[in-house]
Amino acid sequence: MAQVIIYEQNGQVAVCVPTGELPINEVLAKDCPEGAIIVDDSVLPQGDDAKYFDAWVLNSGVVTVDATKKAAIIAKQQAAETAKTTAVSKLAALGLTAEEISALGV
Amino acid sequence: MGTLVLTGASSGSATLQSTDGTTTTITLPGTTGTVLNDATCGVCRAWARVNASGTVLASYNVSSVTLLATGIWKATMANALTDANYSYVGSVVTLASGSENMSFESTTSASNAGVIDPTTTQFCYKTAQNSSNNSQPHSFAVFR
Repeated sequence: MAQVIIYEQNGQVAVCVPTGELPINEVLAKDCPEGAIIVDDSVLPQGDDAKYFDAWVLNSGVVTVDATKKAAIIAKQQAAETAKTTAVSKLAALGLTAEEISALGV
Repeated sequence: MGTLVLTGASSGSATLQSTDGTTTTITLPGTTGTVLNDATCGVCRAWARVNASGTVLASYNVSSVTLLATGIWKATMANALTDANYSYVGSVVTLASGSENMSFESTTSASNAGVIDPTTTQFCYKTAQNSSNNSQPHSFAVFR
């Protein structure tokens, strides 16, 4: 377990990770805005929720995952995956090999 | 004809002695070349290596790295540089298929309001081009 500094900025949680070169209280004062707090990183969302950083919200010093934001992220990822699959299918139909399609960055 | 590089002195003189004992004294800085030193070449002023979980494995002159949004980071240096006209380079370890590039962010290139333009102590960079990748192992170095 390690200590990190969390704060909210424009509706988004930010997690500041000290390198250890300076004491964490000094990092808090120097690198973070007013209102930032030091927490143990074990209190941050873990497991699958850790993947949805943009859905994290900070309320009274506790970080949770906003279900609505998480659902929007998942929908966006699924849409991107669908678009990619469709593009690959169309390129394959044109006769391109898998290597050629990959080279196109699809 | 080879090149002899003297470092650590930009004034005074230096004596070169060959194996037969013959010596030659030259005045610094040399009149036929450029004296290379930290001031003219620049040195690495800061660097860090960050793993996939966001832990800083090793660093120099970096007090913290801050995850602002998925794949968007802000590095803060422990000691300020003389100005913000430094060169910075970085690389990302690719975790999935395809390739990933690290890019350095500015207020004109990023939609996230937490991103700032480089200052003498801070700069922002992006490690994930794909929103599904929250964090990736990466490293950066700052030269000035």
